[in-house]
Amino acid sequence: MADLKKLERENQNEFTGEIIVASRIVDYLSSGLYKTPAACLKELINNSYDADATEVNVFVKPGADRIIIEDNGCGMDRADFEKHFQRISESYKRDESDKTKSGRPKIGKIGIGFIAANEICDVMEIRSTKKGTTELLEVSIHFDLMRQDIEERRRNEDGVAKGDYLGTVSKTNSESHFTQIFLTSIRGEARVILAGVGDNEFLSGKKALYGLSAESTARILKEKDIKTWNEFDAYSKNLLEIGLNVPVQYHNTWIPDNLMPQVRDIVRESSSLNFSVYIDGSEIRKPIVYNHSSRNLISRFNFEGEHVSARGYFYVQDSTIKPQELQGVLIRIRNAAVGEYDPSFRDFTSSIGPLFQSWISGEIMADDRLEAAMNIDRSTLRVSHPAYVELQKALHGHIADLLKKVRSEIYGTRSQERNVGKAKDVTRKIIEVAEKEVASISPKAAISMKTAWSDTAREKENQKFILRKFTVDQLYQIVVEIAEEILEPKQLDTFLSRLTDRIKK
Amino acid sequence: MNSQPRPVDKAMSEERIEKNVIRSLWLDIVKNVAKEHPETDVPWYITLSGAEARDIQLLIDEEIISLTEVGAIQENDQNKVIAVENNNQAILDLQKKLPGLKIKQAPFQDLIRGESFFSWPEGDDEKFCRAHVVNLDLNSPLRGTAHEGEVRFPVLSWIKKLCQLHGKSPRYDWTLCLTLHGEVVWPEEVSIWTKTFLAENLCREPGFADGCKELLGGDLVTKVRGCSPTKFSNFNKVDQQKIIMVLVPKMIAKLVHNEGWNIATKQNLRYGQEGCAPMVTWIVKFTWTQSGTATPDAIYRAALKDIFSSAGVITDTGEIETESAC
Repeated sequence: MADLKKLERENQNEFTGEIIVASRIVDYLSSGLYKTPAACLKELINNSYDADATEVNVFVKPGADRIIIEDNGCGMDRADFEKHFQRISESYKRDESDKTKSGRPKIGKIGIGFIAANEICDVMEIRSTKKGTTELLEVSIHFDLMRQDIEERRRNEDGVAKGDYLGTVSKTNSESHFTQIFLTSIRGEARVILAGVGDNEFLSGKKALYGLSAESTARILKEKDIKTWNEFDAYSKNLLEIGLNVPVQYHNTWIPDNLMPQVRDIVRESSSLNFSVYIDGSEIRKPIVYNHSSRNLISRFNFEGEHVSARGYFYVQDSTIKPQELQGVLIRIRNAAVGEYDPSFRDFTSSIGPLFQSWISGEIMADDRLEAAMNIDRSTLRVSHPAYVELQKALHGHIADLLKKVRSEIYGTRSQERNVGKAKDVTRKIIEVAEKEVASISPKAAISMKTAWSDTAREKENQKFILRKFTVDQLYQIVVEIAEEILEPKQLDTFLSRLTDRIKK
Repeated sequence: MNSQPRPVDKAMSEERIEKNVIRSLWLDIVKNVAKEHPETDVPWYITLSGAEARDIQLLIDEEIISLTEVGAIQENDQNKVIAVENNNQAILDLQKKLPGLKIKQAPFQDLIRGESFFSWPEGDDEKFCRAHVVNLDLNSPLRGTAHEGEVRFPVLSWIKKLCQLHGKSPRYDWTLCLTLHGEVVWPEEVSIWTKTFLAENLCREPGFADGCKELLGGDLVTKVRGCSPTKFSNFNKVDQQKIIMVLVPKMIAKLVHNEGWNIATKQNLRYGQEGCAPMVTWIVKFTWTQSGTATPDAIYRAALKDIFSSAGVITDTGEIETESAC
């Protein structure tokens, strides 16, 4: 700026200036940023995480008349507020350090999280006391005024509108530190989605997670008949989406016990963040709960590249992962999810093991270098960024290997077990024929049949001929050969005639 | 995780035997409503519960309102009880204590749209105001204002509006629970108006006069009737409470007797012994009567009888004793 001024002084025909953005930009930005009201809420929850909060309480029900987000984080004073809120995208969040005082990698980067509130409400009130002070900061931000036409809002020649927010600072005797955000005048559509207000008759009968403990929620999520999160009401879907994104813990029973040792470090890491979120009293955890299929495996992903490094796991089971929202891969940066699970595994070819791809669910924790590839919406990645390209390649290599493993270890085993079952069925039927049909004519022959086929189904070699299929000509060939040896010509005529009738019937 | 509690919440959080007695009276009324209207779109109970919400907690303890396994109000019960609260911190405290509780964020005067009879609550606000039980547990005295010779008590105007709202079709019988500080804090004009109003009625209505003598005692009645200006705020604490005990139900009867409601003052109590704030509390049952609008005088006279028969005092041991003039 100083240089520009100098230039301006040197040449009187030139002019300089700072581009001032009208606060209405908040509306333009937010409307393109957040797909759902849940995405807006998670931004505010992640702000609490960045403030070193260990507990966040969110209140939405009933009716989402107002939404309250309260945390026990470090709080803020007037100076902090002005520093972070006055200039959009000129955040100082990572100025001093990219970690919080407690050592958490900060999720927020450019300080636009609060813009999310604009998508949900007309008025945001903030109450906060900064750690170590006894000042209570209270600020109201009026998004509804910001959305007014430029002409209505223009107060002076430079186009800067006044009164986007109104704040006071007062003394409090309390030494506790906190931030409370009250979102009021909730916008119509947001209310419908957040609290399920006005659910119509076609939405009734949906599963609900309101008021449930983490244990009960996990139990419901583990139910095998849940195909998709769309089976939940709108409110519950929000809980699931928020839980998937923010850095909360896993459910205790999220993965089969036999696989837990292989992911214990990831679980421990998540717990060590010591971050709990409660919505209307219910603890929110990662909604990743697998329904404990009998054949499963974990494949760990560890990648050290030139542009990015990442680690994670892939859970595989011998059937389609349900609900479908868990199929694919979820990428996390700084413990927060980037969008949702991607069932295409970041554009992995669908020609290799398309069936088995739906049997896989994984999470990848990428290092900070991938953050540069993340778009402003925090849910998509720039596919041309070197870090992304490198990670994608590594991921595809891993998935290709994993699919081979799935074919041999899971599908192969499953196929073998299926053959045993089928062979057992066949031998059981042979023995039934021996007992019901043959024993009355020739007990000796029946015994002989039973002895020949009993306990043969388990052996792989036996299964080959037990499950062998014959065409009609092959059947004729076998039967005629034997019949010729033991029957008189007249008997043979009758026998073959009857056999033909039977086969054709 | 919060700042200092407000005085009102501090007061409500104190274990006061008298207050517990009143809460149990409120509870009985809501219990009856719940029994009579198990499934209804009309809220059972609207209350200025404060951040402590002890009255709502009682409903939960008695299983009139059910909670989920994490202590949130069950979805089916969310529209049965409404708390009215305007303070952000108190709202947060309430939600933390009872997630899922329906809270109308407004001062009650805003909910009822003030004293004006040209402005009325609409939509959900109207629905809330038409609750079967309206509990105005106000942490304030009976305020009165005088303007160009006209005296108004805002709280009483709200009650008149509540009567009109409940009178809209479909009508529901309803109960008012009202609690006020028992101190007289009126400006001179209001005091003069009140003295004149009471004195006139003492002369005009023998039944009312007898009741007043019984409740207030001869000396106090003489003071009210006397010609010299009466400064109610100079009366002792109990006498101030008694004046309000007479005035408020009398004014309610006067204001709403021609609206079609039978008015029965079920409780007319004072409490607050030495060292505690003097309080007065009423439970008034409004029952719709077809003939009400045709016979307002009969309704009015019947309403006045209850004022005295229901008068009592809650002792510091939690007993309700009949009021005597001694």
